[in-house]
Order: sequence, then structure tokens, then C-alpha cells
Amino acid sequence: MKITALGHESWLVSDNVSNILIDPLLYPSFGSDKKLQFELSPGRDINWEAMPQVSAIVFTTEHLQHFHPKSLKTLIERYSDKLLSKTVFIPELFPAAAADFVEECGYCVERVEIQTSFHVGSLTLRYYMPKKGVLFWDNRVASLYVANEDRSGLFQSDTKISESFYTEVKQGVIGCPNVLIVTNNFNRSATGAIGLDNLLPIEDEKYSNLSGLRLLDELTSAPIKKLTHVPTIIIAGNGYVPPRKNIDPIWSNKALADIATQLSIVTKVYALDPGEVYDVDSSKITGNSADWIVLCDESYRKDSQGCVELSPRTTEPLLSSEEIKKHLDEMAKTWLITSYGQALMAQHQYLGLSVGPQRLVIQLTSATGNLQFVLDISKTAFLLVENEGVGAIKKYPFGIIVGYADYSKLIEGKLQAWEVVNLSASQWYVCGRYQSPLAFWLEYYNEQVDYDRAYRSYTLSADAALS
Amino acid sequence: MIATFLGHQTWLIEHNKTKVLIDPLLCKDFGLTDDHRLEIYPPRRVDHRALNDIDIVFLSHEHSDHFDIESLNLLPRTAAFIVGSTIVEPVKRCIRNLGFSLTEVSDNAPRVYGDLTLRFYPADPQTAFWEGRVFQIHLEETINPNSGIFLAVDALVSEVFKDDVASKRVAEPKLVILSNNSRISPPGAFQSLENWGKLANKSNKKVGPLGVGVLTSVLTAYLDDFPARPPNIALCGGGFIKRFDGFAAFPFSEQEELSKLANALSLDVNVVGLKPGQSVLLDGSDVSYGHIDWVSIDTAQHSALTEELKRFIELERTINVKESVLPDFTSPTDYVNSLEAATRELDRIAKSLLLFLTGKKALALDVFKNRKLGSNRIVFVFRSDGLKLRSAYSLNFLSGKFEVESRADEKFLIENYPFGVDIPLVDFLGMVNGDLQIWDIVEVSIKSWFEGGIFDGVIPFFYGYYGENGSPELLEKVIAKKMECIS
Repeated sequence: MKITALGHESWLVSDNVSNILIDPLLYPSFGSDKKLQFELSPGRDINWEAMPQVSAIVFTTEHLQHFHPKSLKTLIERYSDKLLSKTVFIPELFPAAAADFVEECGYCVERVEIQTSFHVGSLTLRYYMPKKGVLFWDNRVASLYVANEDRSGLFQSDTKISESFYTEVKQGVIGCPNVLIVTNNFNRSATGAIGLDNLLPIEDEKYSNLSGLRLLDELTSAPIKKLTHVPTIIIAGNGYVPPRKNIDPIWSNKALADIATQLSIVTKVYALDPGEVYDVDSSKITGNSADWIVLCDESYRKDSQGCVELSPRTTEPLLSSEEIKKHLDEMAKTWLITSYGQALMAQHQYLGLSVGPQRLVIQLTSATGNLQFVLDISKTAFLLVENEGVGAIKKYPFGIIVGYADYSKLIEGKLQAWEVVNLSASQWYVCGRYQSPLAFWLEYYNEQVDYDRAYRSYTLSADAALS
Repeated sequence: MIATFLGHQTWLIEHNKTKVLIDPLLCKDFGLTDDHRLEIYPPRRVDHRALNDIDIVFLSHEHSDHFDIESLNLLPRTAAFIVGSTIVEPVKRCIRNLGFSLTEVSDNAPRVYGDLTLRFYPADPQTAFWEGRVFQIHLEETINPNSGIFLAVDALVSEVFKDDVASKRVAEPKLVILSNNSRISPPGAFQSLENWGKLANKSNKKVGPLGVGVLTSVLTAYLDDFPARPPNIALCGGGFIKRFDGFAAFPFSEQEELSKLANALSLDVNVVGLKPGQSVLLDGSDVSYGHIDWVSIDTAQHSALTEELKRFIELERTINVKESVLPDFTSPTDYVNSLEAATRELDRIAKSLLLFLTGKKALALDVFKNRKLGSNRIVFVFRSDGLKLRSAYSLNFLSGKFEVESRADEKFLIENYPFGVDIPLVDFLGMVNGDLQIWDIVEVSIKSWFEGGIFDGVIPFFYGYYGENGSPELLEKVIAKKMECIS
């Protein structure tokens, strides 16, 4: 059995009989907006003509770094000769918006129960749902176990590995995997604070107390402890650069793998560049990379940055303040009845002063002027108030600052929350990272609970991507 | 300091010339909607004229068993009115419109009001979310303080208060007042968070020494991490009845009896259980009791109610879920038209329900009744018993949308859905439109079932979404109606 890295968390798994594509992302970039593409890193091109024929496509999740509408569409419309079958396998709780999109492309969707084996040629596959208690936006992501007669591997995907996987290994229901493809999504803001990071200078547990060591332990030694045999570990993930280059992965997978190997007895830990092929039978990276995957040098990436427009886009109409307020007021109800609201409700003091019922601010920024809304917890409603600029951070214990255009697009389903969080949204908070305002947005706009927005973004994404 | 119990959770605390009235319910009943007012238990009469000289009114939160407009209207407007800053806006506005001058507090700084010094504390953040806006109060003598009282009703003890006590910023209170809201339903009856999938009203789990559990949870578990062992704990709460068909008073809501039994089991703590009109007098470590003459218990009615409960249990009687609280539909056309409005509302709340505890618990459930769960896991049944019509809609976790469920019979739905609610269509829309409050229909016309804990079902979602937390605009509507009647 061989595993070919296509970039980020896209894979081709093959043995002498069958090939399957896992989470295929076949373009140099992904994202809902043509002008705001997340580019794969290291960059690479796929030579579609030279790509091997595949017997099935298998998805682990609908997240847009894995589920790429444009790749799916191009495959079936222009390279259908590469598809020996039009079957696409998805795990049982895969959101309907994504499943419907796949079907409408002309594929035949097979929704598979978890912990139930299914077969593609000589390969046997099995999904596992994540460990209980994982973050909401990762709670439907499945890990995928792939085996042939001799060998097997587990693709962790973007979630925590289920206890039921380890139990099945221990009980002999499945063989102990020979290779574990683990996911490293650890990163931080490159400048200032973007996404879930905190604009307030408060120590974040995520980055303290030997965070790199804790990360490596979680990726390598923690899973091994629970298995009956020691598998080879391949570290994947973090294989893209956001359009505004504002995320820093800190440690590359290669660097982590290198350190882990130095800390390892006998076995090696790997990280694969796109095109590299890991041979599970010999437990080695083969000398011959896949010739249909062409690594681009840095100059290619530099050129392609020209496609990305970094300044705020004002040419498209923005939603009016009334439209945004209406949307926010509906959101306020859900905010205040979930644990995110409890975090607001519990905050009575800020910077040594009492806070009143206005505890959270949302600032929408644009070149032509900013808008500011505050959430009044005694009204369960947002109020449009005069923009207080940076002063707001000293007055309110919680806040989001986001590009007006990006947020309008999010409301309209033209961008996904995850994209906005990585594009222009920053925040401050005095609670845990996963109770923070943007964490709430990642739930509120999640594909699972918002069919219409998700479907819209998939449709738009099918026409985006750099070529 | 003297703490006088006026019924349910209403207290008058005084020292020398300063009087503080807390969560005043002064009428024989309370409620924001006139048709659904609840009677105070034990039944008693309060001569409110005795309260004409109070200095402070403090409202811990906005629920109708604490915030009663008719009672507030009986009070002198000269009293300073204090609320926590988290209380919802319509309540603040109402208090101002009644003519009070309102102070909002959001910190625990001591505030001196004559002979008493008050401190205010937000509820512990782990409190059930629909009680998340509760503020708690600490009172002590301004000069030579030696008998602090802390009132911790309807929410977990404030962590800020515990910090203050642990770090000696506040002296250990001599009396802590707690609420017993157990409302245990006797066999044959049901309560608001009853699980119809598990116990139903005929369950044999409703017998046995359940009062031990009530006392344990209120007197010990609740104060587990309290930094000091208070020498006196007073019980209150559970002091109202809903007029059911056959009984009204709930078991274990006689605080005086409960306190006697608790004291028989105590070697240190003195448990105080008062009848309305009785007082406890604190002076350092000395405790004595008294009573006032302007609160009188209707003893005949009180014994009739306790006798009624006894008979209900002895005769193994049962009560049925009421057809509806609001007048039911009389024509199928009205029903069908209203069903359209209800399905539009389901579209609106689907996302919120998925992100609420109910949705998350349902998603995390793989297996139900030894079967693998499908994608539809929460079901709503709307009904009109008069017209013999039932319509079911289930929430699809793949699309995040409600769909028609062709079978609407209760047995099938309880067997196939881990979470569900069965509600009169007219009451559902009444709640949605603010014609009544969720509190008016639970324990009366709704049935629900759920997996997991009692906070995981659909009714807690209703508490959140349609209650004061999620929909203060509905409360505003209810208050506006009430204010019209008063003026």
C-alpha cells in the first residue's frame, strides 16, 4: 500500500489493485471567494492528464480545506475518464449541504455508517467519529481507517481520534495501523492578533508551558501509547497560506518530524511534501515522487500572490447597517442562551471597573468608515452606536473587529466563518479561547447548522480557485 | 438584625431603623399574566401598609415569582430600588414607570444605607442559564457588624462572594438563606421537567425517601465548597401552587417541618424553617425567633391543601396533562393556518436549537434504545385535543431543518426519538407571540422527553429562547399589558 501526498491533507492511497482519493484538493488554492484564496504551501500543480485513475473519492469532512467543490466539478466534467466509478463516500453525519452539492455534480453519494467497514476494490475502509467533547466545529469530522490484506493506516483528519478506534484496535476488530497520519493545525497570528487569538495582552494557555513539546506529544507519543504496536507517524496539516498571510504555523511539519525523529528510537517520524510517496510495505518514503504532482518553487508562489487583492474591497455593495442589525439581533438570542452568553453574563468587572449590560462590541471596518454595534445583555439586542475605534477595547470586555466587506459576505453566504476568522477578524476577550466571541461565530455560521449559507459558499467555491 | 419571612422567597431584613425588602410578593398570588396567576403557599395575607417605611427594595432577578408588578405597586415610591446590572431592560423600565428611582449594581463594593451595609454579588456562572442573571445580596450591620446574612436563592452561591469570605474581606455570614425549589411531584402527578420517556406519571420512582435527597441537595451539596460553615441556614422557596385537578401543594414544601427533621439530623448547623410572618433575630451567635402581626396565615385553607395532597397520594389519584392553557382551536381551518405559522417558527429556531444543549446532546448520541440513531433526533408534536389533530415535525441533523414526520402518535415518537416535546399548538403560538409565558404552560399542558440530564431537553431550550434571556421583547409585551391594567 502506498500513500501519496497531494498537499495539505489531500491523499491518494493505492495498492496494486485500487486507488482512492481522500479529501481531494487538486487546485493550487481553495476558498469561497475568487479574490481571497488560501494557497497550498508548499505550492504545487497537479497534472490532471497524468493523474492515475481512481476507484472512489472518500471525504472525512466538509471543511473547505478538505471538501473542494471546484476539484470535484472539474474531475467529473473534464476528466471523467479518471473516475472508474462516480462513487463518493461520506461519513454518516456529513452535512446535507455538502452531500447535496456532490450529488448535483453528478456523483453517486454513499453515506456510510461509522465503525462499519466498506470496500473499494482491494481496500477496506472504516470511519470513526471523533473523541467525545471535541470542539463543535470538529465534531462531525471522521477519521478514516484504510487497510488492504497486509497493511493499514489511519488518517486522523481535522479532529481528535476517537476512543472507539483504540478500543477496536485493542479488541482486534481491526488491525493495529502500520501508519498514522496525524494532523498538526497549530498556528498563531503572524502579526497582531487574528482569529481566536486575543488582542489583550493576556497569557494564552495555548502558547505557554512548552507548547511545541505539548503539541508533539499530542501528535506522536499520546496516540502510540494507546496502540498495541508502534506505527510510523506522518505529520500533516497546516499546508496552506491564508490570502493575507497573517497566520504563522511556528513549526513546520518537517521541523516537528525532525525533532521527533531525534527523540525516537529505531522508528522515524515523517512529513511529506506534495508528490512524495510513503510506502507502507517497506515503511519508507520511496525515491520516486509522483510525477503528476509538480512542486512549485518560491518564485511561483510569489507571482501568484498577484491574484490576491489585499486591500479592503469597496466596489461590492455592503449590507446596510439596518440589515446587519437585524441579523445580529436574531443571533443575540442564540448567543445568550448558550455557554458563550454565560461568559458574557459572568463578567461584571473589566480593567478594575464595573461593567454595565453592554459587554460586547462588534466593529465593522472599511475604508469609507467604520460601524460599531454593542450587545446589550439586558435587551438581548445589538445597538448601533458611534464608533469608538481602539478606545472600545478599554471599555468592553469582549469585542470583534472585522472587515465590513468580509462580514457582509459572511452574512450573505459568500464567505465561510472559518475564512473570515482567518482573513480579517480579530477579537479580545476575558474568558477561555473556546468561549470567545469568534468561537461563537464558528459555531453559529457552521456548515452543520446553516444549510443555505454553506450551500451558497460551495457553489461559489466551485468557480473560485487559482488555476 | 431581624429577618422576617413573608412567603415563597420574600424577606424583610431590618436593623434598627433600616428596612430592606427583598423580592416582594405581597398579594395572595403572583404572575404577570392575569389569567395565570399562581397562589402563594402556605396561603397568607400581608397587610402591605406595614411596609410604608421601607428604605430599600431589592429584586434578585426578573422571574415572575420574584418580580410581581401588582406587589411592587403597593410599595412606597420613596424606597430606593436596587437591581443587578444584568436584569433585563423591560423590567428596569417597568420599575421606573412605576415611579421608583432605580439603582443598578454590578460590583461587590459595600454600600451603606443607614443602619445596614449591603453588598451585591452575581450568581456563579455555572448556574442554570435561565437563572444566570440572578444577583445575590449580603447584609450586615453598619456599626459593629456581627450577624451577616447572605441570601443565595435560585442560583449557585456566587464565586465572588466565596472569594470575599475566604479572603476575609467579608465576615463569615451568620445566616445563609437558601431556596428549596425541589417541587417533587407525587405519584400520579408530573412536574415541569418531567421525562415522559422514562418516568411518566405512573413511575414507581416517585415513592421512597425523596425528602432526604431534597435536604441533602439544599443543605449540604449546595454549600459543599462554601468557605465557612454557616451556623444558621434558612430554607425558603417552593412557596406557590398551581391549581391542578386533584391536588395543589407539592410534597416537601413545608419548610418548617423540613427544618425540624433536618435539625434532628444536625450536630452543628441550625436549620431555620419559618412560616410566613415568623422572624429570626440574630445578634452575634445568639438566635431567637419572633413573629409579626401584619402577616396572617389562612390556616383553614392551609390544612385543606395539605389534606388534599395526602388524599391524592392515598387514593392513588392521577392528574392529566391539560388539553391547553389558552382556549383551543374550534375549527380545523384555524388549526391548519396556525400550523403554517408554527412551521415558520420552527425554521427560525432550528439553528438555535442545534447549538443549544439539546442539539449538542442529541448529536453526541450514537445509539438510542439499542438502535443506531438516524439523522432526525428531535421531534416537536403540535396538537389540538379538541379537534383530535396532531402534527409532528422532526429536526434533521444533516440539513439543520425541520421536516414533516408522518407519524404523530406519542408511543411511536417516544420510542423513536431521544428528544421530543408534545405541546398544544395554541399554547406554542401563544408562547411565541408573547400572549403567555413558557412558565404558564410547563407543568400544565406540555409533555417532553429526553436523554441525559433534566437541563438537556427541549423545555430548557424554551426557557432560554422564549424566556427573559433570549426574548426580552416577549416579556416587554407581557409587562405592557399588565401595566395597562394597573394604570
